[in-house]
Amino acid sequence: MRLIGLNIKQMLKKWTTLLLFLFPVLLAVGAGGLIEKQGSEIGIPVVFVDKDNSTSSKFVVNRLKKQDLLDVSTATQKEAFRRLGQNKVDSVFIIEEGFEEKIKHEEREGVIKLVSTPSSLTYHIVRELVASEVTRLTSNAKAANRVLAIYDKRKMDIDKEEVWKDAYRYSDDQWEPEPLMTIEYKQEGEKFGNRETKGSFNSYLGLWSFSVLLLCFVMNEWILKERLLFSRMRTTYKGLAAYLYGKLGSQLLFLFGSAALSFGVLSYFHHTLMNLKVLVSMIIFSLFSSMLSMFMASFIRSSGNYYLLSFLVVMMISAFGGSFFPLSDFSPSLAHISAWMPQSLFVKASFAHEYYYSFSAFIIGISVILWGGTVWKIQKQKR
Amino acid sequence: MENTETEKIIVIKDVYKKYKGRMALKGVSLSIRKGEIFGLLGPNGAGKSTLLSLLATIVPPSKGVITVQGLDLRKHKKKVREQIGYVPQDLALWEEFTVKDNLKFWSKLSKRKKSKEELYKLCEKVGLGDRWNDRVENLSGGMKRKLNICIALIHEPSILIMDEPTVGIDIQSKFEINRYVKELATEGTTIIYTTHDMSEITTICHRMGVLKEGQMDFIGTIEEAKQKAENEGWNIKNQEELIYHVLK
Repeated sequence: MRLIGLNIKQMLKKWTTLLLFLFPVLLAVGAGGLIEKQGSEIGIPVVFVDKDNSTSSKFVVNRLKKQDLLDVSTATQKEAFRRLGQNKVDSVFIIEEGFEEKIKHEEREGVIKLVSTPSSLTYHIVRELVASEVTRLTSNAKAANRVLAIYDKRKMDIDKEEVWKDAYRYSDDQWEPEPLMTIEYKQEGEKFGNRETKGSFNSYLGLWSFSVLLLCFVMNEWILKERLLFSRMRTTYKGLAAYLYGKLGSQLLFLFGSAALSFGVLSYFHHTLMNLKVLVSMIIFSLFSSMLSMFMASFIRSSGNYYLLSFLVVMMISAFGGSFFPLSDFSPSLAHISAWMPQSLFVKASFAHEYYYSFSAFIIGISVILWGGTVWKIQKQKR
Repeated sequence: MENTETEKIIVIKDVYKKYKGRMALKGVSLSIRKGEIFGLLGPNGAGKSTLLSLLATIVPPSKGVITVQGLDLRKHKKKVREQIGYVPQDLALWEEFTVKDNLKFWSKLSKRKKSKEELYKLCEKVGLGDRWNDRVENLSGGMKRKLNICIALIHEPSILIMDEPTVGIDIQSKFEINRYVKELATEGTTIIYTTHDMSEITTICHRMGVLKEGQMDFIGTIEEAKQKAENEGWNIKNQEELIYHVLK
């Protein structure tokens, strides 16, 4: 305890400590806002070839144009394939002739042809978005057809075209005002947000996790700098382990304090849910980041190598864990990797996940193992 | 100084140490008396630092027994650590901290925490009283060496292990450190001192031991070393010749 206190006193003497303490929240609020804004402006470029040129086909295109995630344009087939060949668009959707007729007959299969390159990262999500619009149209048509069938059964004299249109419109109105792909996160009676699929990713918390990882790697360079002191510490009564635990304690207090501040600020500005699970997840992530950076520092001898490797590790964990963007939406295999990353506890609102507690325990367990490895390695070093 | 068993504060019996696949010490035996300044000499790679690391409890011996005040070093590591102060060859200091903060940190790693006044007194003793609030990075090489020694004395050890404590410093600082080492010995502290400087050995050490290829080649006083060299047909005229002979 005495060493923790002294370490904190030393930290407070440096003005850079305050900067480091505020770094995660400043980066999260500053750059997070910027990413959210740009994310809504930048869409996946897709092009539609409308061979049917009907009301229904135009409806699909216009509906998709309203999707933030997509940047929709129309072109001839030749032009569309040229753009795809030049990688200017991610995918080409061809609405075949007879699209409207098929929809009216509730046929979904093969009404829209999708052409994409193997390098397309967004194939799955774009396909789902288009499919959802087709589903909407066919469902409306199915409902209208059913109404007509009922009238026919009861042998009622009606204007079939008008009734069909009314029934179709009524059915379509049922999809409003909520967008089709709406996921509502509700946590203990509080409403987190009403976001579309892409919205469940929280760029503020994503950037916060990146900054904490970076911060920990910068803070833990002391292991390399103080290597010469370790052999002398082994000769003291309390030994090297006491010093290492003191250092760990003060660092964790610092990181947990910084996480609590970040949580307070982010929830005050409604960038995250005011939920204890989010705060606990942030603390667990801070613990993991600290342990991982200490572990790496204990195995590397030169500062140059340490910073190079740290940069690579920070970028990899941040990218695969979804700190910068929701990579998991692009492919199932990336989603699988992303689910095993520590920031998956909070960046994709998975604190509501059924495996939250076991995954948290898993991350804590990994952190403890990393700490054990750090102490073992430092104790083993002769100089 | 009487040569009785009870006065032997450190006893090293047939000690071996394997280090990085190589036998660094091969059956070293030695005993050091209370209040003695024992100089350890030897060419680079002879095993001096390894022997000091064993005595400082940094690493255990591969074979053999080391006792400090009758306590087996393996079994009573903590009790032995209360008795020893270790001055490493490298400066084990926090450069960005002040002299005061360095002493405070090391004090917290000892058994009993020292008060600020006690630490300041110690600092004054080695001539660093006026640099109490200065950052270590602003101290001269000699002052840093003095602080390096000062830290080893925080818990008032009865044995001081010094691994080339004056390497790379000016003559005046070296002289001051040597004078202080002698003072400590007079007060009853046992000192084990390694150096490459023969003048330091002849000035401050009561006895010396010469390590060669992991084995103790000679143990005795400076006079005995001279006598041995002369018996072997050497005409020792000065310290340089003596060191050349003992290290050959």
